Amino acid sequence: MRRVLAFVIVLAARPALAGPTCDGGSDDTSSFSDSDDDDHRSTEPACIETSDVHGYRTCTPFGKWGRSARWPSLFVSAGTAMRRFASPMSTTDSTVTHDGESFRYRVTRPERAALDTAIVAQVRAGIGLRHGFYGAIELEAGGLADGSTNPEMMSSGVLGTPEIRAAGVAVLGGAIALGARLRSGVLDAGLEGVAGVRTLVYQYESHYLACETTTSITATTPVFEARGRAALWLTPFISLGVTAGRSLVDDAWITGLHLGASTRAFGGR
Amino acid sequence: MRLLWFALLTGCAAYQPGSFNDGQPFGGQRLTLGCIDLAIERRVDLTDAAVLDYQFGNRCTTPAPIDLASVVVVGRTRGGQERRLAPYDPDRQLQTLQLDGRRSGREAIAYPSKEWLAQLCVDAGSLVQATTPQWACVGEVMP
Repeated sequence: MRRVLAFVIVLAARPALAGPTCDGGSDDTSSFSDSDDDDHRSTEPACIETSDVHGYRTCTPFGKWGRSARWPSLFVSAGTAMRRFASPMSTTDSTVTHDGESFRYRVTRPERAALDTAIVAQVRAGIGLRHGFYGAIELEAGGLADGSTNPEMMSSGVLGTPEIRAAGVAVLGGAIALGARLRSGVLDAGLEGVAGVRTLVYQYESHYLACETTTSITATTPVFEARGRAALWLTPFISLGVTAGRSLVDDAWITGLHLGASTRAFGGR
Repeated sequence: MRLLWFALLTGCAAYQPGSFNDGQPFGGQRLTLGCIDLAIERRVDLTDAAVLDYQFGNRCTTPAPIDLASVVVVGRTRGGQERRLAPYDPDRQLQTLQLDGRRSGREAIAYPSKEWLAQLCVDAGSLVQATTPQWACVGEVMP
Protein backbone atom coordinates (compact mmCIF):
# COMPACT_ATOMS: atom_id res chain seq x y z
CA MET A 1 0.00 0.00 0.00
CA ARG A 2 2.80 2.43 0.84
CA ARG A 3 4.43 1.65 -2.49
CA VAL A 4 1.24 2.61 -4.31
CA LEU A 5 0.93 5.76 -2.21
CA ALA A 6 4.55 6.65 -2.93
CA PHE A 7 3.97 6.12 -6.64
CA VAL A 8 0.93 8.41 -6.57
CA ILE A 9 2.87 11.06 -4.64
CA VAL A 10 5.74 10.93 -7.11
CA LEU A 11 3.34 11.19 -10.05
CA ALA A 12 1.52 14.10 -8.48
CA ALA A 13 4.79 15.87 -7.74
CA ARG A 14 5.90 15.76 -11.37
CA PRO A 15 5.80 19.20 -13.01
CA ALA A 16 3.54 19.79 -15.97
CA LEU A 17 6.58 20.52 -18.12
CA ALA A 18 8.52 17.33 -17.65
CA GLY A 19 12.13 17.28 -18.72
CA PRO A 20 14.15 14.31 -17.59
CA THR A 21 17.88 14.96 -17.78
CA CYS A 22 20.65 12.64 -18.83
CA ASP A 23 22.48 12.59 -15.52
CA GLY A 24 20.72 9.50 -14.38
CA GLY A 25 17.40 9.77 -12.60
CA SER A 26 17.09 8.17 -9.22
CA ASP A 27 14.23 5.91 -8.24
CA ASP A 28 12.34 8.23 -5.94
CA THR A 29 10.04 5.49 -4.78
CA SER A 30 12.80 3.57 -3.05
CA SER A 31 12.91 5.89 -0.09
CA PHE A 32 9.23 5.24 0.55
CA SER A 33 9.26 1.51 0.06
CA ASP A 34 8.48 -0.89 2.79
CA SER A 35 8.92 -4.48 1.80
CA ASP A 36 7.06 -6.13 4.62
CA ASP A 37 3.66 -4.60 3.80
CA ASP A 38 0.84 -6.52 2.13
CA ASP A 39 2.79 -9.75 2.08
CA HIS A 40 0.72 -11.48 4.74
CA ARG A 41 -1.59 -14.17 3.48
CA SER A 42 -4.35 -15.81 5.42
CA THR A 43 -3.57 -19.35 6.40
CA GLU A 44 -7.10 -20.21 7.57
CA PRO A 45 -8.37 -23.43 6.00
CA ALA A 46 -11.24 -23.16 3.53
CA CYS A 47 -14.70 -23.89 4.91
CA ILE A 48 -16.01 -27.26 3.75
CA GLU A 49 -19.77 -27.85 3.61
CA THR A 50 -21.09 -31.16 4.80
CA SER A 51 -24.71 -30.34 3.91
CA ASP A 52 -26.52 -27.82 1.73
CA VAL A 53 -29.63 -27.88 3.93
CA HIS A 54 -30.32 -24.61 5.73
CA GLY A 55 -29.52 -24.91 9.42
CA TYR A 56 -27.07 -27.73 8.80
CA ARG A 57 -24.69 -25.99 6.46
CA THR A 58 -21.91 -23.93 7.96
CA CYS A 59 -20.21 -21.98 5.18
CA THR A 60 -22.98 -20.37 3.14
CA PRO A 61 -25.48 -18.09 4.89
CA PHE A 62 -29.14 -18.12 4.01
CA GLY A 63 -30.25 -16.06 1.05
CA LYS A 64 -27.13 -15.71 -1.02
CA TRP A 65 -29.45 -15.65 -4.03
CA GLY A 66 -31.14 -12.51 -2.70
CA ARG A 67 -27.95 -10.53 -2.30
CA SER A 68 -28.03 -8.71 -5.64
CA ALA A 69 -31.46 -7.23 -4.94
CA ARG A 70 -30.03 -5.55 -1.84
CA TRP A 71 -27.39 -3.72 -3.86
CA PRO A 72 -28.14 -0.57 -5.76
CA SER A 73 -28.25 -0.92 -9.50
CA LEU A 74 -24.64 -0.65 -10.65
CA PHE A 75 -23.25 -0.73 -14.13
CA VAL A 76 -19.89 -0.69 -15.85
CA SER A 77 -18.96 -0.30 -19.48
CA ALA A 78 -15.87 -0.29 -21.59
CA GLY A 79 -15.47 0.87 -25.13
CA THR A 80 -13.75 3.06 -27.61
CA ALA A 81 -14.54 6.53 -28.90
CA MET A 82 -13.39 8.96 -31.50
CA ARG A 83 -13.16 12.56 -30.46
CA ARG A 84 -12.76 15.63 -32.64
CA PHE A 85 -11.81 18.85 -30.91
CA ALA A 86 -9.94 22.07 -31.43
CA SER A 87 -6.32 21.81 -30.39
CA PRO A 88 -5.73 23.37 -27.00
CA MET A 89 -2.10 23.99 -28.01
CA SER A 90 -1.16 27.44 -29.17
CA THR A 91 2.39 28.67 -29.72
CA THR A 92 4.20 27.67 -26.56
CA ASP A 93 7.76 28.09 -25.32
CA SER A 94 9.34 25.56 -23.02
CA THR A 95 12.75 24.19 -22.07
CA VAL A 96 14.53 20.89 -22.29
CA THR A 97 17.55 20.00 -20.15
CA HIS A 98 20.62 18.04 -21.23
CA ASP A 99 23.32 17.40 -18.62
CA GLY A 100 22.33 20.43 -16.62
CA GLU A 101 22.22 22.67 -19.70
CA SER A 102 18.84 24.19 -20.43
CA PHE A 103 17.60 24.80 -23.95
CA ARG A 104 14.57 26.77 -24.97
CA TYR A 105 12.27 25.44 -27.66
CA ARG A 106 9.07 26.64 -29.22
CA VAL A 107 6.11 24.60 -30.30
CA THR A 108 3.78 25.82 -33.02
CA ARG A 109 0.70 24.17 -34.38
CA PRO A 110 0.56 23.70 -38.16
CA GLU A 111 -2.24 25.56 -39.89
CA ARG A 112 -4.32 22.74 -41.32
CA ALA A 113 -7.14 20.74 -39.79
CA ALA A 114 -9.63 22.78 -37.85
CA LEU A 115 -10.15 19.91 -35.40
CA ASP A 116 -7.78 17.30 -34.04
CA THR A 117 -8.84 13.65 -33.98
CA ALA A 118 -8.26 11.41 -30.99
CA ILE A 119 -9.00 7.73 -30.49
CA VAL A 120 -9.55 6.84 -26.85
CA ALA A 121 -10.46 3.82 -24.77
CA GLN A 122 -13.18 4.59 -22.25
CA VAL A 123 -14.35 2.93 -19.08
CA ARG A 124 -17.24 4.07 -16.96
CA ALA A 125 -18.92 2.95 -13.80
CA GLY A 126 -22.20 4.23 -12.54
CA ILE A 127 -25.22 3.83 -10.37
CA GLY A 128 -28.84 3.69 -11.42
CA LEU A 129 -31.15 6.08 -9.61
CA ARG A 130 -34.92 6.25 -9.51
CA HIS A 131 -37.14 6.92 -12.50
CA GLY A 132 -34.47 6.06 -15.06
CA PHE A 133 -31.92 8.60 -13.90
CA TYR A 134 -28.31 7.60 -13.46
CA GLY A 135 -24.89 8.97 -12.58
CA ALA A 136 -21.53 7.74 -13.80
CA ILE A 137 -17.82 8.39 -13.65
CA GLU A 138 -15.92 8.07 -16.87
CA LEU A 139 -12.20 7.76 -17.57
CA GLU A 140 -10.50 7.68 -20.93
CA ALA A 141 -7.03 7.33 -22.35
CA GLY A 142 -5.75 7.27 -25.87
CA GLY A 143 -3.79 9.16 -28.42
CA LEU A 144 -4.12 11.83 -31.02
CA ALA A 145 -4.52 10.29 -34.45
CA ASP A 146 -3.63 13.54 -36.15
CA GLY A 147 -2.92 17.07 -35.08
CA SER A 148 0.73 16.99 -34.08
CA THR A 149 2.76 20.12 -33.43
CA ASN A 150 6.06 21.42 -34.75
CA PRO A 151 8.81 21.96 -32.20
CA GLU A 152 11.91 24.02 -32.96
CA MET A 153 14.90 24.92 -30.82
CA MET A 154 15.24 28.54 -29.85
CA SER A 155 18.62 28.41 -28.11
CA SER A 156 22.01 26.73 -28.46
CA GLY A 157 24.59 25.39 -26.05
CA VAL A 158 28.37 25.43 -26.08
CA LEU A 159 28.43 22.23 -28.15
CA GLY A 160 25.66 23.09 -30.59
CA THR A 161 21.88 22.91 -30.79
CA PRO A 162 19.81 19.88 -29.76
CA GLU A 163 17.55 18.23 -32.31
CA ILE A 164 13.96 18.05 -31.18
CA ARG A 165 11.01 16.25 -32.73
CA ALA A 166 7.42 15.43 -31.83
CA ALA A 167 6.88 11.96 -30.35
CA GLY A 168 3.14 11.62 -30.12
CA VAL A 169 0.30 13.07 -28.10
CA ALA A 170 -1.41 11.21 -25.28
CA VAL A 171 -5.03 12.03 -24.47
CA LEU A 172 -6.34 11.52 -20.95
CA GLY A 173 -9.73 12.46 -19.62
CA GLY A 174 -12.10 12.14 -16.73
CA ALA A 175 -15.70 13.20 -16.39
CA ILE A 176 -18.92 12.73 -14.53
CA ALA A 177 -22.15 12.09 -16.37
CA LEU A 178 -25.73 12.56 -15.26
CA GLY A 179 -28.50 11.29 -17.45
CA ALA A 180 -31.81 9.61 -17.90
CA ARG A 181 -32.72 6.53 -19.89
CA LEU A 182 -35.77 4.78 -21.20
CA ARG A 183 -36.10 1.13 -22.14
CA SER A 184 -38.43 -0.56 -24.55
CA GLY A 185 -37.90 -4.30 -24.69
CA VAL A 186 -34.25 -4.93 -25.44
CA LEU A 187 -33.60 -1.39 -26.63
CA ASP A 188 -32.36 1.37 -24.39
CA ALA A 189 -31.97 5.06 -25.15
CA GLY A 190 -30.83 7.94 -23.03
CA LEU A 191 -29.61 11.49 -22.85
CA GLU A 192 -26.90 12.73 -20.55
CA GLY A 193 -24.87 15.75 -19.64
CA VAL A 194 -21.14 15.31 -19.14
CA ALA A 195 -18.68 17.56 -17.32
CA GLY A 196 -14.98 16.88 -16.94
CA VAL A 197 -11.50 17.65 -18.13
CA ARG A 198 -9.33 16.50 -21.00
CA THR A 199 -5.57 16.58 -20.81
CA LEU A 200 -3.27 16.34 -23.81
CA VAL A 201 0.33 15.42 -23.20
CA TYR A 202 2.48 16.51 -26.16
CA GLN A 203 5.70 14.53 -26.05
CA TYR A 204 8.98 15.49 -27.68
CA GLU A 205 12.29 13.71 -28.06
CA SER A 206 15.43 15.80 -27.86
CA HIS A 207 18.90 14.69 -28.98
CA TYR A 208 22.00 16.58 -27.97
CA LEU A 209 25.25 14.86 -28.89
CA ALA A 210 25.04 11.41 -27.23
CA CYS A 211 22.36 12.56 -24.85
CA GLU A 212 18.74 11.66 -25.54
CA THR A 213 15.81 12.78 -23.44
CA THR A 214 12.09 13.29 -23.64
CA THR A 215 10.09 16.27 -22.58
CA SER A 216 6.41 17.06 -22.68
CA ILE A 217 3.96 19.90 -22.61
CA THR A 218 0.60 19.37 -20.97
CA ALA A 219 -2.57 21.18 -21.92
CA THR A 220 -5.78 20.67 -19.96
CA THR A 221 -9.20 21.89 -21.04
CA PRO A 222 -12.65 21.59 -19.49
CA VAL A 223 -15.22 19.42 -21.24
CA PHE A 224 -18.97 20.00 -21.23
CA GLU A 225 -20.95 17.75 -23.50
CA ALA A 226 -24.47 16.64 -24.26
CA ARG A 227 -24.64 13.04 -25.36
CA GLY A 228 -27.15 10.56 -26.63
CA ARG A 229 -26.71 6.88 -25.89
CA ALA A 230 -28.48 3.88 -27.35
CA ALA A 231 -27.97 0.26 -26.42
CA LEU A 232 -29.15 -3.19 -27.34
CA TRP A 233 -29.43 -5.68 -24.46
CA LEU A 234 -27.67 -8.83 -25.64
CA THR A 235 -28.67 -10.60 -22.42
CA PRO A 236 -30.61 -9.18 -19.44
CA PHE A 237 -27.29 -8.06 -17.96
CA ILE A 238 -25.05 -7.31 -20.97
CA SER A 239 -25.56 -4.53 -23.50
CA LEU A 240 -23.88 -3.23 -26.62
CA GLY A 241 -24.28 0.46 -27.23
CA VAL A 242 -23.31 3.54 -29.19
CA THR A 243 -22.72 7.09 -28.07
CA ALA A 244 -22.79 10.37 -29.93
CA GLY A 245 -22.33 13.77 -28.40
CA ARG A 246 -21.44 17.35 -28.95
CA SER A 247 -19.63 19.89 -26.88
CA LEU A 248 -21.71 22.60 -25.31
CA VAL A 249 -18.87 25.13 -25.45
CA ASP A 250 -17.13 24.59 -28.81
CA ASP A 251 -17.25 22.52 -31.99
CA ALA A 252 -15.94 19.29 -30.47
CA TRP A 253 -17.87 16.08 -30.86
CA ILE A 254 -17.61 12.44 -29.94
CA THR A 255 -18.84 9.09 -31.23
CA GLY A 256 -18.25 5.78 -29.53
CA LEU A 257 -19.07 2.13 -29.08
CA HIS A 258 -19.28 0.36 -25.74
CA LEU A 259 -20.01 -2.96 -24.10
CA GLY A 260 -21.82 -2.65 -20.79
CA ALA A 261 -22.77 -4.84 -17.87
CA SER A 262 -25.34 -4.22 -15.16
CA THR A 263 -26.05 -5.84 -11.82
CA ARG A 264 -29.79 -5.49 -12.48
CA ALA A 265 -31.74 -7.02 -15.32
CA PHE A 266 -31.90 -4.51 -18.20
CA GLY A 267 -30.21 -1.93 -15.98
CA GLY A 268 -33.04 -1.86 -13.47
CA ARG A 269 -35.82 0.68 -13.50
CA MET B 1 -12.84 -4.85 -12.46
CA ARG B 2 -14.14 -7.53 -10.13
CA LEU B 3 -17.61 -6.08 -10.60
CA LEU B 4 -17.23 -6.21 -14.37
CA TRP B 5 -16.32 -9.88 -14.24
CA PHE B 6 -19.18 -10.52 -11.86
CA ALA B 7 -21.61 -8.82 -14.18
CA LEU B 8 -20.27 -10.60 -17.25
CA LEU B 9 -20.44 -13.98 -15.56
CA THR B 10 -23.89 -13.46 -14.11
CA GLY B 11 -25.06 -11.99 -17.40
CA CYS B 12 -24.37 -15.26 -19.09
CA ALA B 13 -26.44 -17.01 -16.42
CA ALA B 14 -29.57 -14.88 -16.57
CA TYR B 15 -32.71 -16.86 -15.81
CA GLN B 16 -34.86 -17.48 -18.86
CA PRO B 17 -38.59 -17.27 -18.07
CA GLY B 18 -40.31 -20.64 -18.16
CA SER B 19 -37.06 -22.57 -18.55
CA PHE B 20 -37.07 -24.02 -15.00
CA ASN B 21 -33.35 -24.26 -15.45
CA ASP B 22 -30.54 -22.17 -14.01
CA GLY B 23 -27.74 -24.31 -15.29
CA GLN B 24 -29.30 -27.25 -13.49
CA PRO B 25 -32.89 -28.22 -14.29
CA PHE B 26 -35.41 -27.58 -11.52
CA GLY B 27 -36.61 -30.91 -10.15
CA GLY B 28 -39.95 -31.84 -8.62
CA GLN B 29 -43.30 -30.13 -8.96
CA ARG B 30 -43.24 -27.03 -11.14
CA LEU B 31 -45.50 -24.03 -10.73
CA THR B 32 -45.63 -20.50 -12.04
CA LEU B 33 -46.88 -17.88 -9.62
CA GLY B 34 -46.78 -14.33 -10.93
CA CYS B 35 -43.16 -13.48 -11.59
CA ILE B 36 -41.81 -16.66 -10.02
CA ASP B 37 -41.15 -20.01 -11.66
CA LEU B 38 -41.02 -22.42 -8.74
CA ALA B 39 -40.13 -26.07 -8.33
CA ILE B 40 -40.59 -27.99 -5.09
CA GLU B 41 -38.92 -31.33 -4.60
CA ARG B 42 -38.81 -33.56 -1.59
CA ARG B 43 -35.49 -35.05 -0.67
CA VAL B 44 -34.67 -38.14 1.27
CA ASP B 45 -35.58 -37.36 4.88
CA LEU B 46 -32.98 -36.67 7.51
CA THR B 47 -33.23 -38.77 10.67
CA ASP B 48 -35.63 -36.35 12.34
CA ALA B 49 -36.78 -34.03 9.57
CA ALA B 50 -38.29 -33.93 6.13
CA VAL B 51 -36.41 -31.81 3.60
CA LEU B 52 -37.84 -29.72 0.80
CA ASP B 53 -35.79 -28.33 -2.03
CA TYR B 54 -37.10 -25.01 -3.34
CA GLN B 55 -35.82 -23.82 -6.69
CA PHE B 56 -37.04 -20.53 -8.07
CA GLY B 57 -36.41 -18.19 -10.97
CA ASN B 58 -37.70 -14.68 -11.51
CA ARG B 59 -39.47 -14.32 -14.86
CA CYS B 60 -39.76 -10.55 -14.50
CA THR B 61 -37.16 -7.82 -14.76
CA THR B 62 -38.04 -6.40 -11.35
CA PRO B 63 -37.40 -7.98 -7.93
CA ALA B 64 -40.02 -10.35 -6.48
CA PRO B 65 -40.38 -11.59 -2.88
CA ILE B 66 -39.47 -15.11 -1.77
CA ASP B 67 -40.76 -15.79 1.72
CA LEU B 68 -39.22 -18.99 3.03
CA ALA B 69 -39.75 -17.83 6.61
CA SER B 70 -43.54 -17.99 6.52
CA VAL B 71 -44.29 -20.41 3.70
CA VAL B 72 -47.06 -22.73 4.92
CA VAL B 73 -46.03 -26.40 4.93
CA VAL B 74 -48.31 -29.19 6.10
CA GLY B 75 -47.23 -32.80 6.60
CA ARG B 76 -49.58 -35.78 6.32
CA THR B 77 -48.85 -38.85 8.35
CA ARG B 78 -49.51 -42.34 7.05
CA GLY B 79 -52.59 -42.31 9.24
CA GLY B 80 -53.92 -39.30 7.35
CA GLN B 81 -53.40 -36.76 10.09
CA GLU B 82 -52.13 -33.30 9.18
CA ARG B 83 -49.30 -31.55 10.98
CA ARG B 84 -48.34 -27.92 10.43
CA LEU B 85 -44.56 -27.87 10.05
CA ALA B 86 -42.05 -25.21 11.00
CA PRO B 87 -38.67 -24.85 9.29
CA TYR B 88 -35.46 -25.77 11.08
CA ASP B 89 -33.82 -22.37 11.54
CA PRO B 90 -31.56 -22.52 14.63
CA ASP B 91 -29.94 -19.13 13.96
CA ARG B 92 -33.18 -17.43 12.90
CA GLN B 93 -31.80 -16.47 9.51
CA LEU B 94 -34.92 -17.16 7.48
CA GLN B 95 -36.56 -14.01 6.23
CA THR B 96 -38.35 -12.63 3.23
CA LEU B 97 -35.84 -11.72 0.54
CA GLN B 98 -36.22 -10.15 -2.85
CA LEU B 99 -35.15 -12.23 -5.81
CA ASP B 100 -33.79 -9.84 -8.40
CA GLY B 101 -35.18 -9.75 -11.91
CA ARG B 102 -34.05 -12.62 -14.14
CA ARG B 103 -32.18 -14.21 -11.26
CA SER B 104 -32.63 -17.64 -9.75
CA GLY B 105 -31.92 -19.36 -6.49
CA ARG B 106 -32.42 -22.51 -4.50
CA GLU B 107 -32.71 -23.43 -0.86
CA ALA B 108 -33.09 -26.73 0.93
CA ILE B 109 -35.14 -26.37 4.11
CA ALA B 110 -35.58 -29.04 6.77
CA TYR B 111 -38.92 -29.47 8.59
CA PRO B 112 -38.46 -31.41 11.83
CA SER B 113 -41.09 -33.99 12.62
CA LYS B 114 -41.28 -36.79 15.15
CA GLU B 115 -43.60 -38.74 12.88
CA TRP B 116 -42.93 -40.27 9.51
CA LEU B 117 -44.63 -38.03 6.92
CA ALA B 118 -46.03 -39.70 3.86
CA GLN B 119 -46.74 -36.41 2.11
CA LEU B 120 -45.72 -32.78 2.37
CA CYS B 121 -48.01 -30.06 1.04
CA VAL B 122 -46.74 -26.54 0.44
CA ASP B 123 -48.85 -23.44 -0.04
CA ALA B 124 -46.72 -22.05 -2.84
CA GLY B 125 -48.84 -18.89 -2.82
CA SER B 126 -47.54 -18.07 0.66
CA LEU B 127 -43.98 -18.47 -0.61
CA VAL B 128 -44.43 -15.64 -3.09
CA GLN B 129 -46.78 -13.65 -0.83
CA ALA B 130 -49.74 -14.22 -3.13
CA THR B 131 -53.21 -13.55 -1.73
CA THR B 132 -54.65 -16.89 -2.85
CA PRO B 133 -53.23 -20.21 -1.68
CA GLN B 134 -51.87 -22.65 -4.23
CA TRP B 135 -51.05 -26.06 -2.87
CA ALA B 136 -48.44 -28.42 -4.18
CA CYS B 137 -47.97 -31.83 -2.58
CA VAL B 138 -44.98 -34.14 -2.80
CA GLY B 139 -44.76 -37.71 -1.59
CA GLU B 140 -42.05 -39.41 0.36
CA VAL B 141 -38.78 -40.30 -1.31
CA MET B 142 -37.22 -43.67 -0.75
CA PRO B 143 -33.51 -43.64 0.02
